Parts: sequence; C-alpha cells; structure tokens
Amino acid sequence: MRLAADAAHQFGGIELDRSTPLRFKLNGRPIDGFAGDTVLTATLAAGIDGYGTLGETPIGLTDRFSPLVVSKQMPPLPMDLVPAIDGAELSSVGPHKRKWFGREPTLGHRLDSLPDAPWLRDEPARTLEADLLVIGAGVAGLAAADAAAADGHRVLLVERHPWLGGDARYFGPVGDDETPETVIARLSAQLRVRSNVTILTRAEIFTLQSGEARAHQIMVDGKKVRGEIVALRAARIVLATGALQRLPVFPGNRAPGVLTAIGAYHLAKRYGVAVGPSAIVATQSNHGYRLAMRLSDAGVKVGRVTDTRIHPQSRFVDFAKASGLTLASGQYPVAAERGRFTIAHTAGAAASTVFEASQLIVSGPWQPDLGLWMLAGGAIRWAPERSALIAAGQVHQIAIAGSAAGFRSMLACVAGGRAAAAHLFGGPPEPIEDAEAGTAFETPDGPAPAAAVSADVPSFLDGGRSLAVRPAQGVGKLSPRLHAIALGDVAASVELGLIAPTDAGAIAEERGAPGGDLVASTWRPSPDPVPDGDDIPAWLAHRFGAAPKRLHLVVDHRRQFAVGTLVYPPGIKPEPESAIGVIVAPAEVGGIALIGASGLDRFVLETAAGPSPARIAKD
Amino acid sequence: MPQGYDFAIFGASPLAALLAGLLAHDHGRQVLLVTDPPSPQRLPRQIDVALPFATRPQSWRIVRQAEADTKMLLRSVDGTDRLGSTAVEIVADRARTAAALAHVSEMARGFGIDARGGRFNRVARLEGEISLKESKVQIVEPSSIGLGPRDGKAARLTLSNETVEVGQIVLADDAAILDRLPEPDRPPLLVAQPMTATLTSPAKRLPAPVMRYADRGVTLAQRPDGSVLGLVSGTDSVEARLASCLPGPFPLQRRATTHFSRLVSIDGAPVIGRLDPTGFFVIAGLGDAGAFMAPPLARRLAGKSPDREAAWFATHDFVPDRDAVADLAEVVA
Repeated sequence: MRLAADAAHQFGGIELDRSTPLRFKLNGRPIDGFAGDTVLTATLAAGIDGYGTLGETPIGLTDRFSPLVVSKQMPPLPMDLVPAIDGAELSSVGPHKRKWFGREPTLGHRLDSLPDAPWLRDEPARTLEADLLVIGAGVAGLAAADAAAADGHRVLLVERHPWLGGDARYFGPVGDDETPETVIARLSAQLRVRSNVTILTRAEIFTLQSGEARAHQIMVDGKKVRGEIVALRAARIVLATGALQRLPVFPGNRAPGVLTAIGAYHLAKRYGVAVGPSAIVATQSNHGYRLAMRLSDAGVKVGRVTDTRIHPQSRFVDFAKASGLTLASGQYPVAAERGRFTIAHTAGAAASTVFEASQLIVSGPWQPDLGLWMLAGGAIRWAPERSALIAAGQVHQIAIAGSAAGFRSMLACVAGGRAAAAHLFGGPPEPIEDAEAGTAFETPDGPAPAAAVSADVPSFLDGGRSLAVRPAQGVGKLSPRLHAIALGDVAASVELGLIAPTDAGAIAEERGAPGGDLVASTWRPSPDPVPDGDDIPAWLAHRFGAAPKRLHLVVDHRRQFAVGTLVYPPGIKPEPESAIGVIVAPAEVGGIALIGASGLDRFVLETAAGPSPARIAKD
Repeated sequence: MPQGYDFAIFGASPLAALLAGLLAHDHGRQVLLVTDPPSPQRLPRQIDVALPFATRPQSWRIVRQAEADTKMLLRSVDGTDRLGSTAVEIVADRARTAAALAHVSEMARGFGIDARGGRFNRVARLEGEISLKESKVQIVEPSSIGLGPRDGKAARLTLSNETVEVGQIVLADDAAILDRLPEPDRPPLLVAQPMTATLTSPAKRLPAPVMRYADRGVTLAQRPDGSVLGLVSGTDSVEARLASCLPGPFPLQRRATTHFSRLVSIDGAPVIGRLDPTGFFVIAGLGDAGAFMAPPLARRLAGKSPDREAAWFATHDFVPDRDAVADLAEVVA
C-alpha cells in the first residue's frame, strides 16, 4: 500500500513525485505508481509481495530478492533498479508456475532455477579511469571520495542504488551530532560540484581484480532504459560496500510479507510503500523500536514490537512505550505464513501466539558486505565478538571503509572513509573513534534468534539469492539452492552450529566468491617435442638393468603387441616384478620391446587376450 | 596425558588419521595426532583412489597390499561406509603420456585391476572423515601446540604449557609439510605446486565418476547430485583447462572455488623418510593412492616392515640416487 504523501518522518517517499502518476503493465497486469518509483516499489505498493514458490514454499518479493524484468524495448534488468516508466509493458524473467490470469499477489515464478544476469560476459561499452575508485556511496564512501577529490585526485564513485547515503538514515542522529541527512547532503553537494569526481548510480560492480572493476549500470534516457557495462580502472580502491541486515532463521522466514527492518525503512522513506496496513515488528536491537515508531506515526498499525532480549533498556524502548506501542520482551518469531506470524517466548515455557498482520518486519544482525573484497582476493574470518565475518589481512591497494570495515557509528564511518582514502595515497593515519551515544546505558544488540527446525516449512539461512536452507537435522551440507552461498548464510550457519567458527572464513571464501561461470573451452596442451626413437623415459630407467636392449618381438605374421605389454621368460609365474621387458613401441607386426640382458630368444607376453609366445624377429 | 609420545603425527588427511590409529592400536605406541577438526563443508583437496599413476611394479605391489590391509582395517573398525569403489578414466593428450598410460594400464592389469585403455574399473575409493574419537590417539589442534628445540633424537612439543618429548614427529600430509617445513628447509626434490579446487553445479554425466586428464593437470570427480569437483594444478589457464575437461552444459556455474598448494616430487616417485636436520619424518608424493598407504607406513615407523617393504622404503627415502625409482612426474602448468 502507499503511505500518505504527507506521512510523518517523510514516509511519504522522498524519491517520489506525487504530481506525476504513471501506469505500466507487469505480466499483463496494470500497476499504478509515481515518477521516482522503481518497478519493484510500485509492484509492492500494488499489493504484490510474492516472487513465486520454491517447491511448495511461497517466497516473498523483497528488496534483496526480486527478478529481472524485460520489455520489447528493454533488455532484462533488475526489477529493483529499473525506474517505473509510464506506458511500459514489462514481463518478469524466469519460469512461471502458471500464467498470471488471476489477481493473486505474486509474480508466480517457479524458483527451482533462476536465470543468470545476461550481461556478465558482455564487453564494456566504455571505460572510465581515475586515481581512486570508491565502491559504495554511503557516508563512508562519500567521505572517502570527498577527501580524495579535495586533495586533487580523480575519483570514481559507484553506487548500486539510485540514491546516495546508504543506510545511515535508518539509524538516525546520535546525540548532538550532525544528522545523517545533513552529513549526506553536505558531502553529496561537495562532490557534485567537483570536476574531478564522477558519480555513477544504479551501477553494480560484478567483477573486481587487478585495479579494474566492471559495473553494470542502468541508463535512463527519457522513457528508454538500458543496461551498459562500464570498465572502471583505478590503481586504488576503497570498498565502502556497507553491511547487510541478516534475516533471522525461522520456518517461513522467506514468506511473502516478511521483510527486514532496513528493507521496510527504505521502502517507506524512499517510496512511501508499506507491505500492507499492519505490521508486527520483531527485533533484537534498539533501532527496531525506532522504525516501529516511525511506521506507526506514518499510519501503519503496529500490533506489537517483540524483542528477543529480556527487559531491554534504551531510549527508543522508552519512546516506543510512551507512544503507546505494545512491547513484549523475551519473544521472537518462530513461524510465518502470509498474514499469520507466530511469536514465542525465548524461555520456551509459555504458549506461542499467532498474530494476523500484513507484514512481519524483522530486525536481524548485520553482516559486513565483503563479497567484492573476496572477489579481489581478500581473506575472511569469523569474529565471535561481533558474530559476523570480517575482513582479514590485506589486499594491495584496496582499503575497506565504513560498516564494511566493521564500524557502527556514522561519525566513525565518515572518519573511516577519509582514513581509507588517506591510507591509499600514503597519508597519515586518522584516529577513528567508534562510539555510539548512550551505549553505556543501553542494552546492546542481542544474538540472532533461531527457532526450531520445522519438517514442513523450510527455514532459510538468509534473505539473498542462494535460497540456502537450514538442514532439517544435525550438520548437513551447506548447499545453495540457486546462487553462491553468501556471507549471511555462512554467518547463520556458524551461529546454528552447522559449521565450525574456525572454518567459517575459509568456507565463505570458497563459497562466497567462486568466480564466474565456466564457458566451453577447447584448450589442449602443446604437442610433444618429436621423440628420439631410442629415448628411454625416466620412468623406465633401470627397470630392466643398466643396459637394456630394444628388440623386435613377434609371434606370427599378423599379431601386434600393445605398448606396455610385459615380457616374461618362459615358464615363470607372470608377476610384474618378474618381467624382464616391456613393449615400448608398436610395430607393423609384433612390437618393439625393451628387454634386460637375458640371453633368451623366446619369451611369453601377457597380452589382454592372454599369454602369447614371442621370439626375436629376424629383421 | 602421557609424559611423552612415541609419535606426533601432523596432518588432517585420512592417511594421517589412519596412520595414527594403526600406530596406537596395532603397534601399541603412544600417539599424538595434531590436526584441525574435520571440515566437511570445505572443498576436498584430493580424491583418494587406490590407483597409483605409476609404472614401477614395486610401487604397484606395495599399494595393492596396502589397499588390502586398509580394507581389512576399515572393516575391523566399522569404517566400511568410508570405502567404495569407482571407475577411473585417465585421458592423455600427448603421445608420450599416452605411451606412459599404456604402461600404467598394463601394470594395473598385471596386479589384478580391470583395466582397458585408460579406463580402470572397480578401483577402491575412500571418502569421508576417519574418526578417531573412540581411539587411544590423543588429538590436539595445531594452534595449541608449539615445537621446541630437539634433544638428541627426540623432539620436544609444548602442549597446554607443558613440554612433552616425542620420539618422532611425522609430517603426514602436504599441508603439514608446507606449514612446518619452510621452503629453505625443504629438499629440492619436493616442489610446491599451486592448486585450484572448484565445485561446479550439476553437469552432464562424465565418462567415469573420476576422470584424470594427465596432460591438462585436471582431475574431476562427479558427485551423486551431478556436481563436479575439479582439481587443477598450476596457475596458467586454469578455467580454460578445467572447462576443456567438462561436458557442460555451458555456461556452467561454479559453486565454490579454493586455492591451495600440494607437494610433488620432481622425479614422480613418493618421498618418504627422515629429513635432517629437522628430524621430521616426511611423507610426500604419494598422489591419489596416499590414503591407502597407512598400513605399510605404520609398519615402517614401528620398525616392522617385511623385507620387500623395507627395500621399497629404502629406495624412496631422501637418497641421492633415485633414478631407479623415478616415475611419472606430475604436470605443472
């Protein structure tokens, strides 16, 4: 549903131009939206929150898992990045379970296989070069780009989303510090007027190695939308790729209507979209309460805010209580299906409760997004104190900044961005203080809750494209259903005891960055040098004495002896150690044998057809 | 915890575990196994099949006997679920390799393996973890152990802040050797070869469950779900060489990739013996058949080798003249 244009906290959608309504068709169904929508956000606003089914399990349509869309005028492009265009006639890409004749709130795909992004092997349409490539335009990336540009370096800043600023707004201001809005607006404005900075939005990096990255960028020209591969060359790279909010693991956690807190926040703040009029918010962190309050203020009926922690202390908890929201500590989601969400007590004693609501918003732990770091050859290790996989070691001329580097506060991310750029250009290190106001008085984030495994409903390890499922019992293979295992899948596996913490880094590296698809190859080794006819290979040296002879052995005028056939003296048991020679080269008749000094002129050869007598040919 | 150990076996391979178990149970020795916990989620680094890519009959003899002993051992410890049999096909692109393969094939046939051309049927295969949880072997993780200075023949280890004496340290797999024996201390006979292991999504059926492309430096093993584990030696054209051995359908998704090193001997023959000045007993160059070699190696370490085995070990030691045992050297692309 669409929130009111004047909803509190700008939850009417800051990307939207409500004065410019539009209509397009997706799979034949008309979808209404506004200028500024993406195809995904307009589709969700229209009440379609299902992607399809994996087996019999319904899977939700979310900001982290949506299909490609295509039209006669447009190649397949990601649904969450393609702008909604008035009059467009689009189809979602991938096998459909059935034609979309009805009004079901799903795209109806069969998710047993997903088409690959078709552009991965396309050649670049253009090449951009700079002194520094900054990947990610959250506050850390903005700060890194701004600092390097201010020092006169040429900078490329690449951002996947249509907007700048990343997730900082979700966390809000801290104490008397500058607000995220102020910091983002200031840094963005500074960058936009610098002639030595090039900013690419809607551009996703998909390869990164040896000072060159390749991005797939959505280009919009009026009503024309296309994708373009851009090669990005820079000797130095800052990875400010942020962190991903993981999906707590419980049966039905990929059901339509289940979405992460950060996903729900961006939908509302950017596009004025809520997945239905009512919500249950399940959190293990204080910021979950902040989102619940804002959604409530914006017109979403928040039935309950549950928290895995027992009696958490936070200013956000106090505010939420004061605003009249129903709070429940020591509770967590244990099952979900469309419109029905089951919440249980962490202690396990009391009965669980089923809530009916249009959405379950889950606030899970954060995993630094280090996929490109691994593609660049970076190592990963499990950090038990943070319950996350973090970068280990160094990669030449690549620095990590912001929440990808593990920083939590906005000011630390900004300082980290500047420090990363300075480090790459040989500048002095900048001290970074990662302090969150009020931390000492606030309950820290809780561990990720995990409900019991259900035999009937799969629990997915995270919300991404792998669709990796928690094994039904015991330790099972960490098998992706569709796509490479992601860091969130590995992190959940460690917490669930599926893999050892000491193995987590190596498994993440193996599974998280397996490389591109293999293409057909006709590779063959270069041919042998022409052999010397009398050459004895090293593996035959001394096998038949110091000075073996080459003899032509025959049995009749027709039979040939295969290379490798062992030669024995007559009358002994044919055990390979007793062989006195071996056929080393074919001949028109018989074969050429290498034979130790035996003085014999009659032999027995153990051929595939059985023993055969042989004699020295009268050549 | 005993005051000392007769052997400290370093290694996470099946060979290391079997060797430790045999020394402790069949030979009554105090054994410490220094190994990481089992890691079933990680990609395998080797494919354990009792098929030496070798032409020397003495090597075939010892592997065939070792295979029989290993089967008996696994039956006695209820480990038969680790044992299977498979068809292996070896492919040669070059004429010289094809000739060598013909010799390997005839040698296999001479030792009772159903071999025809490059195909070898019903070859014993070892899969899965060898558990020593119920054994007399003391198991510790490498991170909890320190190597102290040697005292005469005995080595010293620091374990839980205690110093213990060890009669013989055995480096039983490539990772242990590479980890504990820095390159300057490694004999030039042993070369570290970069390797890439890749797991693909399900592919078309391979001609045999295990395929070895000798001239392309590629070994493939197809899993029951159709996915293929590819082990590629060297660093040049890794993807092209791997893809050239796969049947498609292309493009074929890679599910996992990892890089590691293995040790090969430059003369192609196994290298087994005590290495001065470290005093480590080193086991290297056994190739795919290494996992089956625990019984003769345990007898060797316990001083119980029969004459024929003792002779084989003597010629495969760190001796200056190994011409008489040189065999098929691995491809290093």
